[in-house]
Amino acid sequence: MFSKDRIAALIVLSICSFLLIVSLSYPAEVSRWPQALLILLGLCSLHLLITGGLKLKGGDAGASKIPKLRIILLVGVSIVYIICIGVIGFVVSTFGFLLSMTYLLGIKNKYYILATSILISAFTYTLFWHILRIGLPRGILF
Amino acid sequence: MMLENIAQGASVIFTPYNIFFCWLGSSAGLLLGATPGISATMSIALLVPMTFALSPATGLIMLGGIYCGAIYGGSIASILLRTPGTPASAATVYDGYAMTQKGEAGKALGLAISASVTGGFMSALVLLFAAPQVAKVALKFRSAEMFWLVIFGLTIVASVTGKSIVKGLITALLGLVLATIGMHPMTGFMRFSFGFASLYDGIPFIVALIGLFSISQAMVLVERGGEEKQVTVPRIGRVFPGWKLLYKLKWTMIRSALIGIGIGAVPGPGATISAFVAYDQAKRLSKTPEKFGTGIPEGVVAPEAANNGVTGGSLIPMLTLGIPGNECTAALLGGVMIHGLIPGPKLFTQHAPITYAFMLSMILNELFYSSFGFLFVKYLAKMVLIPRGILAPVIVVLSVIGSYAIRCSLTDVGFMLGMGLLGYALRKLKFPLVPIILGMILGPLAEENLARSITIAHARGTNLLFFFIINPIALVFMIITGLSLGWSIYKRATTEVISEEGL
Repeated sequence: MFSKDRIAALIVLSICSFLLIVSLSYPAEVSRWPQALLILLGLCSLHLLITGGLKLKGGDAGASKIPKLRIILLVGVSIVYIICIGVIGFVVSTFGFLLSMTYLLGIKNKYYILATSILISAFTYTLFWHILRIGLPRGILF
Repeated sequence: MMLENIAQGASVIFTPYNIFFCWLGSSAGLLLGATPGISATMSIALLVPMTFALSPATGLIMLGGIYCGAIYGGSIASILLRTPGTPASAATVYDGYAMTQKGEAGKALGLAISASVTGGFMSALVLLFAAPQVAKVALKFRSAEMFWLVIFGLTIVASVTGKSIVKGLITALLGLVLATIGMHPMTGFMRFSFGFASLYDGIPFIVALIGLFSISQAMVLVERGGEEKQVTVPRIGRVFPGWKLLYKLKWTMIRSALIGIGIGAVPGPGATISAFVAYDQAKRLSKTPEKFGTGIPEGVVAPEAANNGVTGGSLIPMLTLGIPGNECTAALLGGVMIHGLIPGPKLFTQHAPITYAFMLSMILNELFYSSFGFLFVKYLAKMVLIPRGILAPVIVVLSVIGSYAIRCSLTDVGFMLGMGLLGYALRKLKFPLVPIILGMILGPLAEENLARSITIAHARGTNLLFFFIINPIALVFMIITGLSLGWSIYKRATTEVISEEGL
């Protein structure tokens, strides 16, 4: 039976094996430390794979139902946002991101959504760009 | 010498500019801490970019303010809504919320402020006077001692955070492996960069911190939907609890503050554990333990004095040894390093005015957030009304700004999102996040000191293990590491057996 812990252990073990193979081509003085860490990490993952993780009261240690759609929405829209800030610019992309994300997350009041999106985009731009002089991504627009 | 340093620190802090940023940090920390779902660590991670444009002294002073303000701010939602603003305020819920139900919300909030100030003030004083002494001892540490100190710090944090030692060790090792990405510190050889120029300098620690703590938290927030259930803030009333009551509670506050300072100074357990330990101690020593949980002042002041007591205590190992004991100080350490300062004993010699100004600012912070708290707690309480549907996207926007601002690189923003996904997966699988961050911070320190130890051992013609054993301090750290790991494994094993028998 593959519990979530065991799947995680398998993933970590695969990454460890891959990195260990990569590190074999490095000179000894730079590969010793990562190799030692990777071997230890592999051993710990192997332990987790064999034992299947800690059995906690109330079932599987990793068990918890995840509302996937909202998470996928947040990650998906965030990726689009990160791409857009480099192309369009920070202010417009942030406004669009906040507008779409708050709506998708179930905020019903349209005036509230609009006001929040405008205020936060303007506030962060003014604070970080004009007052604190911290670099923000620039695109076609500002 | 120490008085001279304190005077130098005072001349740095007591300027209108630095006092303003100290106030700003406390207030911003208080606002974020009062928002359910935003922890003190997250507050620091989200606001670190604001300090980029400031001088190291001012930046550090502001970060200290955020730390102290956020720890106290968490108690507001705990008391009013039974929803801890930060995990450190979870123990305040029992009696704080019970007092609110009895119509004593204002009194509970006032007690929380008073206890927080007592704890914070005492810990700031201990920090000011104890840290330089620890730094003097730390100056004697050489490569062997430093290597084993790092291993000790990491193993103890990995074994006390989370419910499984193996999972703690896996995340600590994962952090150490992540820290090996990029240029080798001594030879300049490129490791695990796979030809990507963005990985030549490794993954910036602040980027990882923001991703792991902020983005994963935004994902946790949206799990429950964006629109809040209709929340009403209870009537608060008079906030100041009265001198007579505060005098009566003095020993509970002082004892709890000392518990917080002591626990904070040890790597591993942080503000959350100290608050529960202090609550438990106050209950044990009380003449009426049965009243705990029914809304009594002792039940509010004990956890609040302890969790604020941690603030100064936890800064001792961070400033003197460069070993952050918990996630908050790890975030602070990142902020310190961004300003080009390397935590360790040299902070007390080469950068003494900045370090002392920072420690003095911890005292000033107590004044700022307590006065802000007493005056505006009724308005701060409204922070609990912000819907998650607004909070989560705003966290993403601030995280994007923070991760971009470090190197003005959109690739870093991508790394931040990747670390956020990793953090979320680890949270869901019940892996602790703190060891991964500590591993990333301490990894280069451990590798560098190990390499030096190997070179010295070779030069002396001795074996590396023998070289470690003949260093008394290193040997002590080796023994403590082994014992603490062994004890944790034994304790978990017996607890598991008991728990299985109990099932």
